[in-house]
Amino acid sequence: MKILFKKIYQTRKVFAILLAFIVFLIFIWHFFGRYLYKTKASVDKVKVSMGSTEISIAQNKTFLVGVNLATEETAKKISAATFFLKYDSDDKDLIDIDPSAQTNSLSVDGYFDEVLIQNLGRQDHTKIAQVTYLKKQSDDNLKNSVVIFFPFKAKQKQGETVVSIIESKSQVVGPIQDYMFTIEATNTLLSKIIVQNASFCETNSQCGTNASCQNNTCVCNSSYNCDGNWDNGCESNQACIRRPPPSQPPGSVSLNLKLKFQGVMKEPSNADQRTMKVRIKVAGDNLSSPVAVDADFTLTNNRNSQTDALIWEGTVNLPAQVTPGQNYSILIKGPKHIQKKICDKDPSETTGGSYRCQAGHAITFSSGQNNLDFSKIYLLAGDLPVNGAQDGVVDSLDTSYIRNNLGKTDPTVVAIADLNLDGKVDTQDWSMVLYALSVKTDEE
Amino acid sequence: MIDSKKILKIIGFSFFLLIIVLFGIFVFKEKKPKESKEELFSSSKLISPTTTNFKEVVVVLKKVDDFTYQILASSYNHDIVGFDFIVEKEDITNSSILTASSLLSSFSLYQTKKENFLILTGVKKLNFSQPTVFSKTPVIEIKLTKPIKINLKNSWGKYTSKLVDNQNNILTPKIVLK
Repeated sequence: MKILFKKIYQTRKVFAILLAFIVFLIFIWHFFGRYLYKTKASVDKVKVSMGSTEISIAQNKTFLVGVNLATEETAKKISAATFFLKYDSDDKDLIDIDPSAQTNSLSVDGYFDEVLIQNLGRQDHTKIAQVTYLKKQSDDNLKNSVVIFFPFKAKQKQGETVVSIIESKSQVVGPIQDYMFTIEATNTLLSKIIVQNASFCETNSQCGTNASCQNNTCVCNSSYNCDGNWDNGCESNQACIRRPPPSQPPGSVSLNLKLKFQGVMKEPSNADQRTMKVRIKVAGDNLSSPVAVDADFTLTNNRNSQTDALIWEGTVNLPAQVTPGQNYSILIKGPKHIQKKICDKDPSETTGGSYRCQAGHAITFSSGQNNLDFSKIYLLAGDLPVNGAQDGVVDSLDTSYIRNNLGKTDPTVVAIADLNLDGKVDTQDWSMVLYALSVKTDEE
Repeated sequence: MIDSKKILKIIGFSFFLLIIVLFGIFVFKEKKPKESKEELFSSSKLISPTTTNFKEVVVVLKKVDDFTYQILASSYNHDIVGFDFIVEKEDITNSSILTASSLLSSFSLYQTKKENFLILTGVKKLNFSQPTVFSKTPVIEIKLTKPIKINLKNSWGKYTSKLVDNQNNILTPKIVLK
């Protein structure tokens, strides 16, 4: 052993050189693997272009904004992408990102297996959204050219807005680690969106089988009336000008509603929380499916008793399909709430949230203004917009989100989980979501 | 004396060599990061929850006897704060009544019956702050009034079976029926 050590010692110079060489090799290997590889990747470019520079869409319709992605070198493949979008600048409120869009409709041939759509709210008077696309299948199936779509929904208001890609924040990724492409815009990365009236069309197919597109307006074919009632004749799948002319002018029914949301006992300190966007749906015998209208409700100082929650008021102009004299039920869904079905003009309950629409009950509207006081029943909170949208169910995601954010006052978290509007997520919000577990799901 | 000095030098030299070799092994064995696409996706955690299908997150429906089933869960190091399970009664006409109870004192269980399904929601109580990591942990016991076959489903309508961790990650489990 001693002799062996001696021999090793005698050849120490050779060892030293060998050692230095090994260390050098390790360094080079590590350096190339970590830095040079990445640098090489970052010089690869992906060309990004908008599918259309201008899109016209009817009110309340969903639509897709297409974007073409193509790597400069065909050998370079795309496995994932994330895009930050801005739209509705200057506090416009014409469109919204549509998180309910089907994943396979958001890329040609359903290339991306998973798409995460996040509404990031408003920053500097502009709405921001993030859409992330991910292909989870094997890398053999990757392509160098992909067409993706951003899903949007036009709102009730008509007007023009712009959807643009925030290039500096967006990323397109290759199949391997750190393989970020440099985005090269081949045209301006924006699309102008024009929200037209509900009967707007560009092609016959947009009007359905029973109507045609004439001068950008859906007009019912002569044998159809397009009044939304399938019992008295076939309908178009698009709002359209009726033939013969409608007996009731559009928007002839409007509702002045009083609502009461669980837990809101005092005025919120944040002025933004004094207005709430509420979805009102009207269902009835003459409607093939419920018609939906979003309306802003404003908090008042009124309450039915000292221990009761504050009352919210708002006005809703109903679409033309809702006609006076017919029987309807109303479905109301607040932004963090379970949908409630109401079919009585003056509903009441003994326990908070216990009112149920009974079979055979209905509300009949009269032409013009209809005053409906729903402030004697509670609209229960609990279906949080955790992923930017509600899912119609109160479940462990809603409870966990509140539990995981207890005590937080961060505006993003408060916007999602502060149910009693006191500016923080606290145990009262926790109690409310647990209470809602007994109802569990939207009433239909 | 000279020999022992040389031996000391040799030992020192060998020790140095050993360190270099260990360093080399460390560098090569450095954990390979996940593919960038995964990383890109998980970056959204900062903003809101992610839905992830963790292979290691497993839920087992185990038959104890004709009248008793148990749901066992493995959460692969995730600290679980809530879960949902959808239990299906296979024979709709069978009048057997299903009742579930939590086997964990730290979780409250809420149950809703819809058609032939029992929707179970587990909520971790606020007074339990210790992390809850499931490892084949029996979490729910289901009692039947009559023998009947039941299943655990991944989804039904709006409902989904899932575990939710303390970072709001939605963990979709692999369901095993035993």
